[in-house]
Amino acid sequence: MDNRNIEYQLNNLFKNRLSEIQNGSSELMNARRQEAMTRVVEQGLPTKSVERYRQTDIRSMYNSDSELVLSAGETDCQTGQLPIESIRVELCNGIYVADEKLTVTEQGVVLGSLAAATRDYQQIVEKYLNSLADNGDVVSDLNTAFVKDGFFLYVPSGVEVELPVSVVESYCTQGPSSTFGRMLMAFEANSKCTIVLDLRSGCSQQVTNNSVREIFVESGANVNIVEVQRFSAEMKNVTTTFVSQAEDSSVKSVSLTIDGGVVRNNWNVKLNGRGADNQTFGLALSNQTQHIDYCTNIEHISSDATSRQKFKSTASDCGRVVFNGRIYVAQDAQRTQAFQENRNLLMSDSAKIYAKPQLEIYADDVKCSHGATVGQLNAEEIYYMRQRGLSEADAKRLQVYGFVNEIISRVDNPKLTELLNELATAKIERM
Amino acid sequence: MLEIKDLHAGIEGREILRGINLTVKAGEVHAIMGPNGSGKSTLASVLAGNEKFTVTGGSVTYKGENLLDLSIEDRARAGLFLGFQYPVEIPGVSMANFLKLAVNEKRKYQGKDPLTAAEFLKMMKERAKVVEIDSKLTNRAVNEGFSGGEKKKNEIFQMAMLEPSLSILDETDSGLDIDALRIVATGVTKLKREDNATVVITHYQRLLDYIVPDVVHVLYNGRIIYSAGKELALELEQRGYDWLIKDHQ
Repeated sequence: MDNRNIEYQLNNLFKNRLSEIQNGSSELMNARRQEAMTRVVEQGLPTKSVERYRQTDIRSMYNSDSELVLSAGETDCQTGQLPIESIRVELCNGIYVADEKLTVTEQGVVLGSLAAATRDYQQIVEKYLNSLADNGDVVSDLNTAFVKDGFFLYVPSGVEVELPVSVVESYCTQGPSSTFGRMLMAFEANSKCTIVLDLRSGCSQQVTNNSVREIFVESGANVNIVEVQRFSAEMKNVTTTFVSQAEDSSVKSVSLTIDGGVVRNNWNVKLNGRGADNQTFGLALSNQTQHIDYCTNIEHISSDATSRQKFKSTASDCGRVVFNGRIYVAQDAQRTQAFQENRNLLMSDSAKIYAKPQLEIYADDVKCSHGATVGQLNAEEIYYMRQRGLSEADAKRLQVYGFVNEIISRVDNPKLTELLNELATAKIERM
Repeated sequence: MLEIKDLHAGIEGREILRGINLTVKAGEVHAIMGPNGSGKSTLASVLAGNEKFTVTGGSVTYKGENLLDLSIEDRARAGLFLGFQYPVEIPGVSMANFLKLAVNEKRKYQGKDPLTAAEFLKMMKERAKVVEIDSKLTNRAVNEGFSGGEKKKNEIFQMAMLEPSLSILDETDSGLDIDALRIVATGVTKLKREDNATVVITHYQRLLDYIVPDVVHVLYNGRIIYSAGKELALELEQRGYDWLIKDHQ
């Protein structure tokens, strides 16, 4: 596709396939499509001259020979399941797989297909859907225009969901294709829940995926999110996560990108209520020609909220890692405490790491800090380990493992920690 | 066990060791003393194989093998242990993980099967007791957030785990209070056997109150200028080095 005309061609695709997109979707979703698509056409997808997209070319992810895939296809989600006891749901190519589209647990937790929920739980969905995604972000607009289904989770107030909810998202198509996924999760007051997001490629076709997640955490609710991305080298993925937190809520997220072709993860957090607490952790392990970009935007809107970000990465071979981290403190957000840390390990001469921390503070009574470093393997540590009998290769691996372990150890579930350790260790072996 | 002949070594073209001769036999404890900058730590580093230093002459024979031909890790696996003056922190790597790899590398080198997880944990517990190290420390990352004393105790703990034939303790006593010093020294003494040897590098005589050496050497300007029995340490404490080094300036 001629990239200068990418929006024009996406618009054509949209017009040609509109009835198919709308079919089976609900009025709540269909009503927003046209205006979202119009914004994409008028404003255009971000070029590399847009600061936040300087290192990641969203436009080049889309090709003229890409097929728009609107069905689950034949992906086998069963392979490599997370060995943890959990409430499992599966999405393939962004489409909810199970025949029973919505499940209601004894505690009143609703989970299942977003398209189904827009019909059966219209009031809940109406309150939340697109309220965060519709904020002028054109990449999210593109999702709003095309998305057909996704995952829906509703946890009523006061409910503590004991088992983690694990969402397996896999992508597999017949040829080069575009997919769109969506999540809407609402956690009512004082509820508690852990979500595990397991994203992966089901095959090695060229897939460009654009996912949007909207997560609403009401007052006093406590949400844990663990995400692991293990895509094929052909996968291009943009995931934009929006989190809105009410007073005294707390959210902790740990996101790991183990593998992928081009991966862009946007984490947008709005601390809307007093005393909200957010902890966002991330880990990117890039080798070969993998491009992994984490872009955070933590906004302190209300006072007395706390946030902490810690992102780590390693880049070897010709791998590239990008970190754009922003903390924004509104004028009224007094007594904010916001900290950001970014640590990177550069493991080859051809690898590249870009780090850009940003603080934007309009209140006067705040504690904020940021720190970013790019370093290399420590020769002293390697010497020390070799003096104890470890081979040079083992010493290097152990050091990298120690470096990444700091993020993985933030995951509270021991079984999950163990699995993530295995995945990270296997990746380190390949680096 | 160890025979050093006319060893010359340096860093970035600057010669530091200018002809070291030293023989250490199994069952012996040697102390190497000397003023700052005389080359004590360089000698320890060169024996361990630190790649920062270049050997420019002489030979080192260890258990009948040319030590200088071996890689850092093969020297360690062959039983050479260096207690670091400044033990290195390895964030995120647990002591157990690290030592299990180290112990099993050594066993592999000796043609033995690796220890099982249970055997290894049992060994850790026993050895921690020998050197009076808090077993909580063994659950933590290697040296991370350890106090100076804890780091030195941890060196002796690792020595206990690896059962070296030749231990070179580089200023293990520096920065220790008297209790930590006693624990470290007692650990070293407990680990002493007929078939192993220890080289203690130290500034101060006080460590030698606990670890009694068979021979005391004075290293000055890259050479061993004087060797004598354990009384020498005491004499050096009282008289300093001047009386020995004046002939070598």
